[in-house]
Amino acid sequence: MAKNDLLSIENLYLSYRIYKGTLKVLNNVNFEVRQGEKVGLVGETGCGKTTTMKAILRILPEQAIITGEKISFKGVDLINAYEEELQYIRRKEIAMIFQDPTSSLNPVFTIEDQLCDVIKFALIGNNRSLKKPNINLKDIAVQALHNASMPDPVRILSNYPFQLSGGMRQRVCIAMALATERNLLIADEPTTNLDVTIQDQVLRLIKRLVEGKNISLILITHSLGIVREYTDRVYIMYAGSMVEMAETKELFENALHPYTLGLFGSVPKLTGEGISQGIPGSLPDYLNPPRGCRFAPRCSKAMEVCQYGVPPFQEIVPRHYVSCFLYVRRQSNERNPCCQKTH
Amino acid sequence: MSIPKFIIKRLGLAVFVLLGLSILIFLIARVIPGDPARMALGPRAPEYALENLRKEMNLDKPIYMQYYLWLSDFFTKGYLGKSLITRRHVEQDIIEFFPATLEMVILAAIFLAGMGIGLGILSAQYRNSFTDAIFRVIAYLGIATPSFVWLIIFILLFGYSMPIFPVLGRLTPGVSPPPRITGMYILDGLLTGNLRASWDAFLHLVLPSIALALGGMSQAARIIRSGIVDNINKDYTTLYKAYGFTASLIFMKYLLKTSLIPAISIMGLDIAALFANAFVIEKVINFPGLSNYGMNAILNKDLNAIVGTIMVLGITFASVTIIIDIIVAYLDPRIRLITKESS
Amino acid sequence: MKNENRTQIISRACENFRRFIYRFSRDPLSIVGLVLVILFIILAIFAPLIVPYPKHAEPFVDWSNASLPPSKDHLFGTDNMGRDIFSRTIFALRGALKMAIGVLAIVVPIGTIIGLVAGYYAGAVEMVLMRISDIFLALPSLVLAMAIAAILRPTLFNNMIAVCVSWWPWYARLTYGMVSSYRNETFVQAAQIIGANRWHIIFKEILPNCLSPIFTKMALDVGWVILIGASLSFVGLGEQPPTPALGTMVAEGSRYLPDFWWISVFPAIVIVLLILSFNFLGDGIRDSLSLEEV
Repeated sequence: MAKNDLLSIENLYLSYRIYKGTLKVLNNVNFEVRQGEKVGLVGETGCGKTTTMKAILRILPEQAIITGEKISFKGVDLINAYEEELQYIRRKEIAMIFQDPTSSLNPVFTIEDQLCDVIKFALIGNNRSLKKPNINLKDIAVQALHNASMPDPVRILSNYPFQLSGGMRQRVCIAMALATERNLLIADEPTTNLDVTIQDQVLRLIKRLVEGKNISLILITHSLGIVREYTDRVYIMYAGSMVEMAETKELFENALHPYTLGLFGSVPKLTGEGISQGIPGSLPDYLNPPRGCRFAPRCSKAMEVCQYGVPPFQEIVPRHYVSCFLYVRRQSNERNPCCQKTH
Repeated sequence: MSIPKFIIKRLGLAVFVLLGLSILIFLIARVIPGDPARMALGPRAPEYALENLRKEMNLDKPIYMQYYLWLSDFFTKGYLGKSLITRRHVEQDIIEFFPATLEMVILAAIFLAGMGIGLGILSAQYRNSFTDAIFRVIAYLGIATPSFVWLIIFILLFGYSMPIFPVLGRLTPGVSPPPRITGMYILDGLLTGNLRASWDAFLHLVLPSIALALGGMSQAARIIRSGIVDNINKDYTTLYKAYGFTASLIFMKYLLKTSLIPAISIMGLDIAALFANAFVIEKVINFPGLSNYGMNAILNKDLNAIVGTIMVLGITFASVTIIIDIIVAYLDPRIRLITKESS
Repeated sequence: MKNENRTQIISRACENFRRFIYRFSRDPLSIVGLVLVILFIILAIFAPLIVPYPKHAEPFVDWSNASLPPSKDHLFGTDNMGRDIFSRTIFALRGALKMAIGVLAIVVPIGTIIGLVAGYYAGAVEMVLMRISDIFLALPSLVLAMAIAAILRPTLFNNMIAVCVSWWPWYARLTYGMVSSYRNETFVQAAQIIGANRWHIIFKEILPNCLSPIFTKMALDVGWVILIGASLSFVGLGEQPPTPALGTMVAEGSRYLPDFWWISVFPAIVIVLLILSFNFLGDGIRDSLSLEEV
């Protein structure tokens, strides 16, 4: 889209071929990140956030089929790229932190083994092996751990993952991600599995590291509180497509999509108005998703048109996009623009 | 605890177990109906000759005395008593016959480990394809077929129909064995430069070793395959892919080690079982190993020989188990470093 | 309250059982295994009625028909004494199956109880029992079984004893491992607080949780026991001629290789099929009982 985009996903569709049929997981995803931006991605568990990220890195299992237009990173088309280009991007450009630090690390290998291998491949890039033999991987590893606020990095290197606490393990993963220069960091619910007391530390660490080097950040979370504090811009995702996007401040002041409003309403308030009901219903069945808007079955404001087409992801207010028939701009055709194709 | 302490602990346990085994076998051997002296000297021997023999074999003393004498003889002089059949010291007999069986088992163990691991990796890489189905059928057959059946098939196919390999004995008539260093012809031949004898001995061992190894090989391949397949879906494997590790590194370093750990214990048991199966097949091919000697001893109630043979096997088995335990402890840090919880 | 628990337990067991049957029936290899096993059992039980030459399983000699190759009259050919190999093989199934059933029927209860006691009582009892089982495990099962079977007189019953002696530690160890980890679980402590007596805890609380792996191991072990039985009779232990035993037949026939190959080969094939079908069945049971969803 815009020229200074680092990452741009346009009209992405993705399905999984399984036993019983096809799971149509991603349904017209639009997503972009600019250099130096911190973008939040909010949605409930199962809505496709992690799948989208894995689609960028192309590390999905074999049964995943990507159709639909474009994933481009720094101008490179990732859907049709050669494996070498993808490997280069994985090693040098994009890093991902996963949700569960315990399962992210192999229990039978030391931190040193795994961290140094990541660094090694980051330095190799597309070459066969390290060109400069006098690079000491261990030094870089120690420095990375130090930057991630780990006490006594040298001892940590010789430890095994089970000897560290959850917070420390996640910091090891952060160290892995930022040990070398990168352009984009994807943090997939980095604090969900951690103690509440540690969550803040870890998030602040990520923010500090990312801002220090102007690295773009995609922060996936299901907590609006985290989004408010740590992101510049937010996407709200539901059942495989983006339903709303705006700058963080704008979203909190002026949320438009019924789902977003429902999310805000679900947050218990300290002013004692009681705990709301949440949003009734649950995610649709991806095997047989609704033909139209996927949120329609749960939406209190659903109209008849919502069943027949997926609303386009449109800019309603400057730099504020929504996918909802409530706000769709009337085209020259006065009748309801329900002709959006569904895949 | 560190590795040396672990080794000492295991050794201590092994010694205890072996002592217990020796007591058990001693008792069983003495309890068998039949008079050993009579069986040794024949039905027409005069009474005084029998008495002398009984005195010589300490049969007139109470059982615990006999055990004590036997044990002290072993530790002070390495003396295991005299065989009633061969009239030589039992330990001499064992030294003569054991290396043959040991050689066959070692060769079989190499086949088992090497081909088992190799097949396991291959079938994991080609999983869910047609070749995989073939592998699985072969694995099933390998496990279900007793060694002696394989041996007969091999003899028919490769010994007679297509005479590639020799069938009987250790060496072809006319080829003299190499000067004795260890008693294992292949090794001795290599050590003394007598390559012809080495090669001949090796050819004679091919069919029986493979026949022995097939059962354990198939089991090892299955366990490794399922270990690798399980670990392929783990989060850390996804992480390695996300950081651009080469497929060969992921397989050969990270997946292999993790999958080897459960496999090695079972392989240890299977390698120990090779001795038992070697016993079964030795007669078929006229192999002058421990089996003939041991079976004769048992059938003729040659007490010292029985006890000696069983103890040798017990010590060998215990050594194999200890080595396996040490390897597993080396591979899996969790065993060494996590202390047992007290109840 | 007690009755309510019982109905809940029963209905949960029925649910588990139905799920087990469902998953089992979807795996073709398991069905093949089950069918073959049932076939073998029927053949073994009704051998005298089914088999073409039932007398050949008893002392019988017919030199004029010795060593005939497979034909219409003699499906598997005849052996060196003129006996029909097919008939003898079917009769030999009986010994193999009797051995498997006998051994497991003894080993599983005894081993399990020893494991339960060792696991629950801990302390000195645990040490002693587990060290004793280590001693029996100091030798590979086949070697110990061969030694004991050879020391006793060679009969089928003594073979069974030999295998039992070498096999029970596996079940003791398995159960012990499970019990000692369950011992510290909350549900056991809860029962202790209520004041339930020891036997109730062992048999009604802990044991049901252990049953699944024990059954799985049992199903897989049948194949192993048959294999060991065949190996023992191959070496000459166990049932003596003229009673037909699978391993013995292969051993005797091996003297006539390669000319009269059928004397060895057909019993060998039957051994393999027998073990294979029990393995399929056992694997099927194991996969269907496992908690993972396919």
